Amino acid sequence: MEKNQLDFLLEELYEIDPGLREHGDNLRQLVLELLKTKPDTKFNQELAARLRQKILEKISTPEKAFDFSSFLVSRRWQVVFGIFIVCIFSVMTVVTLHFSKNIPVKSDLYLANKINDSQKVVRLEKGAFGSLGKLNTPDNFQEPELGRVAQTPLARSLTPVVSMAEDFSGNPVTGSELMPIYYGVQYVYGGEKFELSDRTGLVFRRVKGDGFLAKSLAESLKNANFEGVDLNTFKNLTITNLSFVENIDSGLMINFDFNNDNFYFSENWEKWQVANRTSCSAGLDCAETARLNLKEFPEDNFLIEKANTFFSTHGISLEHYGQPIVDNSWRSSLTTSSNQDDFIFPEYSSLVFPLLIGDQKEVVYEQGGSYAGIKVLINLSKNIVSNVSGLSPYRYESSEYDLINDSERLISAAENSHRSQGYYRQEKVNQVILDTPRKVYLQTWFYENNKNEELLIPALLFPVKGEKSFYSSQQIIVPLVREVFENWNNNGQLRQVSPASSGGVMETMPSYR
Amino acid sequence: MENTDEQLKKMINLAQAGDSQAFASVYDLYIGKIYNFIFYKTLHQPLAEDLTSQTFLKAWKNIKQFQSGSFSAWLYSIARNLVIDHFRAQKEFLNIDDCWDLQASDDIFKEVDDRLKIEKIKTAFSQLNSKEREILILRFWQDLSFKEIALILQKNEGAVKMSFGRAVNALKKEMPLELFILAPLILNLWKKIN
Repeated sequence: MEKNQLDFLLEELYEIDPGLREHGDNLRQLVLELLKTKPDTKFNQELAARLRQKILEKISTPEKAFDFSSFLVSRRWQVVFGIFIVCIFSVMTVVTLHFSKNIPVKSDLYLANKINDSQKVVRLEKGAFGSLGKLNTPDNFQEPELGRVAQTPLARSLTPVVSMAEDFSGNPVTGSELMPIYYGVQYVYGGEKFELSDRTGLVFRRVKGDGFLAKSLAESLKNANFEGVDLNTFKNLTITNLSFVENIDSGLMINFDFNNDNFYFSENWEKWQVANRTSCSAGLDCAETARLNLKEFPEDNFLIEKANTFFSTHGISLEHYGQPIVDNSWRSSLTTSSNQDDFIFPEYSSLVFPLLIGDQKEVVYEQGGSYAGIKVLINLSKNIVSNVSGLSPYRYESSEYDLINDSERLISAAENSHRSQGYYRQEKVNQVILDTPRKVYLQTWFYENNKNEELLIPALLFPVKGEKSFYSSQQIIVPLVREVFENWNNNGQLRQVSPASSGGVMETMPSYR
Repeated sequence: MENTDEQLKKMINLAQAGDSQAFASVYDLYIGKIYNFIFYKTLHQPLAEDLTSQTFLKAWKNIKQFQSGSFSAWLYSIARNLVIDHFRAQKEFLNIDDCWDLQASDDIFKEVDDRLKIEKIKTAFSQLNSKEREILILRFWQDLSFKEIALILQKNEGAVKMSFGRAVNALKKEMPLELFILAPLILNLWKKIN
């Protein structure tokens, strides 16, 4: 063993943990011992050649002919055969039902990938979706449960919490890290002059299937014995949810929601145990070793590659989504933290693949201000994808609606979109400058007769110019569809349109694939 | 003159097209490292030979799936998984990934030629988790860089270094300086008596 090699290894260790330098002698002996105790594998050319020949022989030998008797007794093949029979039976049932009832199929999950591009967005006559004046405002919209992206307590705790800092007498507490109690934000437009020439624009409505697959599955399963319940005594059954789990370490749950025509992945929680976590309380050494630090936090490229690999492995198309963006909003919390050494880094990293709509591939935003699209969570202690939501077949209908193109009114609406942090006086008002807007789409919902329709409407996004303030929104989104604009403006609802999110995902523009 | 990376890429492409001789060239490049790695995790020559063969056969069968990245890391991953599968199958109810988690009384340790050598570090090694052991094996016994180790274990380099530091710290506690001074003396005395 060369002295240089030993010194190099030791220096490497000191760089990782400078405290080890104090134990130089011990460490030197330890490393020497480790190097000396390296087992003798007795690897030699003769062994290599022998294995080589064995491997090449096996590669050259054609696979064994099918042995029917082994097939019958082999348990593995019995299971495969059983699954094959069930699949044949299911397909026959589905085909029979389809031809007997002639049910028209729209966008059921299983057909979504089998239709042409031209069928994915169907153009209807103008105003086909009815009056949009009744579109849910951000105050009262009910976003359907489109699969939940689980958030750990740590991830949630990193979202800046705006709260009232006051003592029990109602007096504001000063010197606190929390936001001052009476703090106002005033938006002022500081962008370029702009003109909007379009008098009409396309609104898109997501098309859900008519449940043909769900009904077919229900028909197939109806005769199974579910704890003695005879499902044939119930009428017009259909399946609303179907879940599969991977019964392996860190396996996933795959969930199909037939009501909302989407699917999502989540942790099969039984198989996601973290070693020592259950026996490890805060304050103990094991809690410290489980914590990530800044050096360990992966780069964005690494996370994006993980997500892309997941989708390509499972055959999920990203054709209608923009380049992924990693949520680094926690970094602003780190910057403002008074004790960075004790900062608790998130255990999950989230990314979003923004949804793109229309011929111009315009970006879609949620009413909360984040990108609409596919949301991915990556577990950082295992470096694997743990949750994916926002997956649904890309099927829309489009229809033209009148747009508001009065830039003065739109600017005024954006400037008035503020949230008052106090109910009474505002002792301190911060001015936030809005930059030149760009056209986007806003995801909205229309709730009627116990059903939710998802609509994507043209909107203008005014980004905040210059330094981002902790206490204000990062952008303001104003709807362009005249009916929606007038309704929300007249009802004072436009003040609430501005998203309160200060998430870092807004800081970059997605590029298109 | 082509560099080794380009030559390797060519061989892999040929192997993906079904050229078994090209695959044999790839085998020649990696057999030493893979065999040694498996041996360090099994300490059993016949088993190491068997698992090494399985590694390369599996690599040949799935070579078309290898698209980009480090081929070495890909091969190591196959080898790792085969070792883990072997031990999990043998000791179904125990969470064992390699031989270092086995009991000292297990037969495998009786067959090791360097039994005395191994016993010195077995106690220390068994205090580490299998990933930490792996990092030590790959760094000290196989002289791989942290970058290469990170690719094999699918972790980022920073995390690998942290685990490495923790593992060495843990070993330092298990193997104090006195052990290195006194142990040879005791061993020599024992030999004289016996």
